[in-house]
Amino acid sequence: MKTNSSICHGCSIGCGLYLVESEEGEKRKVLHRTTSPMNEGKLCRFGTDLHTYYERETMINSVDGKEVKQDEAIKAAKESLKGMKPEELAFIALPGTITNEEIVSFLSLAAEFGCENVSFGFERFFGVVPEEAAYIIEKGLPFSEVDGASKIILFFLDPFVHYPLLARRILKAKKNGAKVIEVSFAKNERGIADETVLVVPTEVERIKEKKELFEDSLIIGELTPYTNPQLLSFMLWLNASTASRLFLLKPFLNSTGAFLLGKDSGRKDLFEILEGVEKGEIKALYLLETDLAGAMLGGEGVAETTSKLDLLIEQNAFRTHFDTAGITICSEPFFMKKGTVVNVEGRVLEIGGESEKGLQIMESIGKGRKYEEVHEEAKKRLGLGDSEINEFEIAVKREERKFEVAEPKIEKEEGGGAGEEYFLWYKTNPFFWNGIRAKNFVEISPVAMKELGLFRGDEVEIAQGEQKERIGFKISDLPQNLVLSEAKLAIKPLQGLLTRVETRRAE
Amino acid sequence: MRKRLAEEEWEPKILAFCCNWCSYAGADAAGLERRQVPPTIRVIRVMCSGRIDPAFVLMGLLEGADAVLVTGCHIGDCHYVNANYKTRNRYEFLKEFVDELGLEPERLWLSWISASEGSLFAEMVRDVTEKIKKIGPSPLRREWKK
Amino acid sequence: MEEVKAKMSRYYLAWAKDDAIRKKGANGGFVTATLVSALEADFIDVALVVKKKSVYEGIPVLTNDPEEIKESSGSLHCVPLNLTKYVVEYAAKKRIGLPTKPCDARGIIEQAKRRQASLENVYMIGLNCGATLHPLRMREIAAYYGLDPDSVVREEIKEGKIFLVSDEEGKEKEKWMKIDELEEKGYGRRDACKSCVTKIPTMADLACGNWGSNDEKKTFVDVLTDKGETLFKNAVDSGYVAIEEAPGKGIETRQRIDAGMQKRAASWKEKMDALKALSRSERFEFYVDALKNCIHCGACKEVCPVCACEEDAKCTGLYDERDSYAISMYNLVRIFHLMDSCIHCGQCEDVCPVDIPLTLIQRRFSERMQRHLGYTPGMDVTKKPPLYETELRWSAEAE
Repeated sequence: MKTNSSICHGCSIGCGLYLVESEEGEKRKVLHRTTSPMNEGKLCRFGTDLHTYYERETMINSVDGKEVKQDEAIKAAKESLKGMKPEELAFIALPGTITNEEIVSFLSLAAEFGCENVSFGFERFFGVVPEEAAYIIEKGLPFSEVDGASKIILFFLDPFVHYPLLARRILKAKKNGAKVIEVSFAKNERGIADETVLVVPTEVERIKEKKELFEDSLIIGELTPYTNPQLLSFMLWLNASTASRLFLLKPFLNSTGAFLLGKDSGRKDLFEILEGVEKGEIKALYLLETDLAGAMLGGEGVAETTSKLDLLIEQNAFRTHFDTAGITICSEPFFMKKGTVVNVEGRVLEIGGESEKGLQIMESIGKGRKYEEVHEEAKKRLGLGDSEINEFEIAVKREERKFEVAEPKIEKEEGGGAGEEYFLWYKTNPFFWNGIRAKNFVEISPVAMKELGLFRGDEVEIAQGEQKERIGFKISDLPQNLVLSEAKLAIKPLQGLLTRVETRRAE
Repeated sequence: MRKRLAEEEWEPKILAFCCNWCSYAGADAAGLERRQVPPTIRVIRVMCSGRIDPAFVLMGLLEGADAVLVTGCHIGDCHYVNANYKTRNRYEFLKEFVDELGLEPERLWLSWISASEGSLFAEMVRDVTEKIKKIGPSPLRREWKK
Repeated sequence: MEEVKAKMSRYYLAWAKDDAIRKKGANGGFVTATLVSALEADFIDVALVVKKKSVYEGIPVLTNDPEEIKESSGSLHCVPLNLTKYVVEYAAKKRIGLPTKPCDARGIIEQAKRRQASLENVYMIGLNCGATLHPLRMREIAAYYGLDPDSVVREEIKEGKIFLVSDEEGKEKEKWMKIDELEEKGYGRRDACKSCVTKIPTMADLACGNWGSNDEKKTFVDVLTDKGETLFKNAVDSGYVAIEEAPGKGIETRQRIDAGMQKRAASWKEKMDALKALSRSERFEFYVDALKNCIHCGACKEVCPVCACEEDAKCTGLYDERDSYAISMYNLVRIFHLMDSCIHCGQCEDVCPVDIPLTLIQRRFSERMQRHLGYTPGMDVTKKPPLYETELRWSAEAE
């Protein structure tokens, strides 16, 4: 029996836990680590079941579909990358399971080939955020700030679903006397908020009328690759024009590390890159531990797009949803890694493993540095100094600054074809981004159930143009025209997380 | 199907689990003897009262039953040797559970009814209906806003 | 064992003869020495011990290396861990010796009743237990004492006080305070421990502790079972442990301390029962309100030392995420299921991601049922709950 401490990669909180290996080294089990300050030993369902995530089929080393030795795959990758023009190349890494060291290595690998198309999934927001406000999307806040807040605004965020380990902090704040206000399309089913500002999907802009509510508050929201940039500018505007603080949680564990380390590198947005692939401008893609087809909405479409590439290199520990990759290189699962990540609170956490495999793959294609060298560079660039890594310290602090943003305007929704009377709202969660369908139902209102003529055990069909999905349903206290989904459906959102859809009873 | 009912038209919903050999026949007898049984009752037939998992009772309450009746053969008359002893044991747990949960004890009943006791069945349903009408709908029942 | 038996007593003071073990272990290293000697004499295949990582952290280790057992000696109050599930996992294949808090021992016994583990393969060296603390609460206490939590090097609980020693740049600083005082101020032990009345593990094979011992480096040992006797005799005969008869005064002292702690626990239990003064409908509101936060992660079931259902459990099987009940089936079935077997160890609350007061809820339900049945779980493996098995009766019984 071996007990190793590790970090959950489910979201940017980075909960501490133990992975217990049996004597045969087979069965891994999660054990709660009461000592970790992020979560005090508590875990959400993703964390509790983390060991099952590691039981997935591992990646093989292959070139053109043929299994080869790792060295050969690396060599092939190096050769074929060299044959590409810099502007035809793109590097994508959604920073869920990658360490700071790997990010440094990844960035220098891209630079080595002169590539400026590097994406960590959040580049589309750079245009929205003024330079002085960049700290808001880069860094989060320590949870002690949530515990001690006097007024908390949940901005289209259901902590129980999106970030379960945040929920207890809000409950704690409530116990300490905080007032919790939610701004959302639907009332929280657990009634966490003292007050609800119900937003009609077509009239999001009217939140402006409630500006005074945001005074002296801690606004908690979420930033994902799918967040509507207009919604982000809205949050920034509310933050800038009131005396409040804005705390954005992210779905990927090492988002903060990726933001800070990738600051000075040439970057391009994920969706722009995909568009470039579609147009044939980008011909080669290097995916670092990123199962794009698994993580993105409308994954099949993504897989179709990437099939147009001349070269797709995947470095991953597990098999991904692509079967078209030209070169696949097998790296180690997250818990085995040696290295650090920065969680949303700004704590630098050690993963606890000993393997440098993933880093060495990139280094053997690129500069060929040793772990220590890369680690020192990561530390330097994160501004950590020489002090020892301590999970109890908030090493990456943020300073609140004043900034100004123009009053945002929310453009009216496109689409809304015949029959598309319902709004589909995705509630993202740790499962969502790891390509696991945690739930097999959507939530609808009792009125909609009646109107659609649904009975218990029926299924609904949700459609948007050509895309449609058949799925079970649950009754929740929602506005009539809202369909809420924690499951990833085959429907790509048009604007942010809200999409007009047609909903009917599945025959 | 959940339906919202206006206060004034509220009628208790009483769920009865009846065993195939005795209490279901008893309920049948009540009908044959043309006894007045209030329409509040919903009967689920099970082969034996020993089949009634406490979870069935809990689920019945969650689904909106205002009271649940667990019925079976008299002790000693069970068609499956001793299964109604088990029913009785489980009922001990259920009684404590329902009470602690904050539901009125009147929402849970255990009675032994033989195939010939149609009058007893009718009387019991009348009695329970009356008691439930007094205490009102179950707080576990969820009402949806229109 | 003849000469031991001749003394007509089952209470002893015992300590490790080996100086290193004696020095490192709590109260003379009797438990460590006994485990090592049992391993050497092949009574057990492995020892299950908690290995210290820091003052605040310990991890369970299954080992047959005497050195590793020696390393793990000394008591850790900040590891609120229950070892039951490890015993269940390994006792089928191996003979295990382990130190147990009363709640570990009770959990193991409940699992044995459910045929998940055979007690024949398990040697339980019971430890008297005043309480455990959540490691992060201990850090708060350190900060409250004015110490740097990171530099605390030792912790100790004795005579109702919590002692902390910090080492800041080579200078040791000791601070202490009475537990009662700390708890008045909101610091202190886990809720489950505060209200736990089982302080001496009388259900284990041996019960060890410092209560009743007249020397800091001697353990007061209560030999409770034949298996305990075998272990004890072996430890003495193999020369690992030295013993002397427990003084009569010590036995009294031990009983007095136990009674005092039980009394205090009972008063805490009264004090922490937020539902005591509530009416029936208020109680219902409380339960609905507390349980609606559940995110159904299943952690409480996973860690529960008396739950033996594994994957095919009724609580998870009957729960459908699509239901919109006032209280979910998962919660209702789980509470129902534990009514006769909950040992109030508080593991569920420790891991609950939304801080549902599960200890209180489970206690409310199970204590009244256990009182009704006249039954306390986890005390005796031969005693099943009164309604556990239905007798085969052919004749009608008078109602």
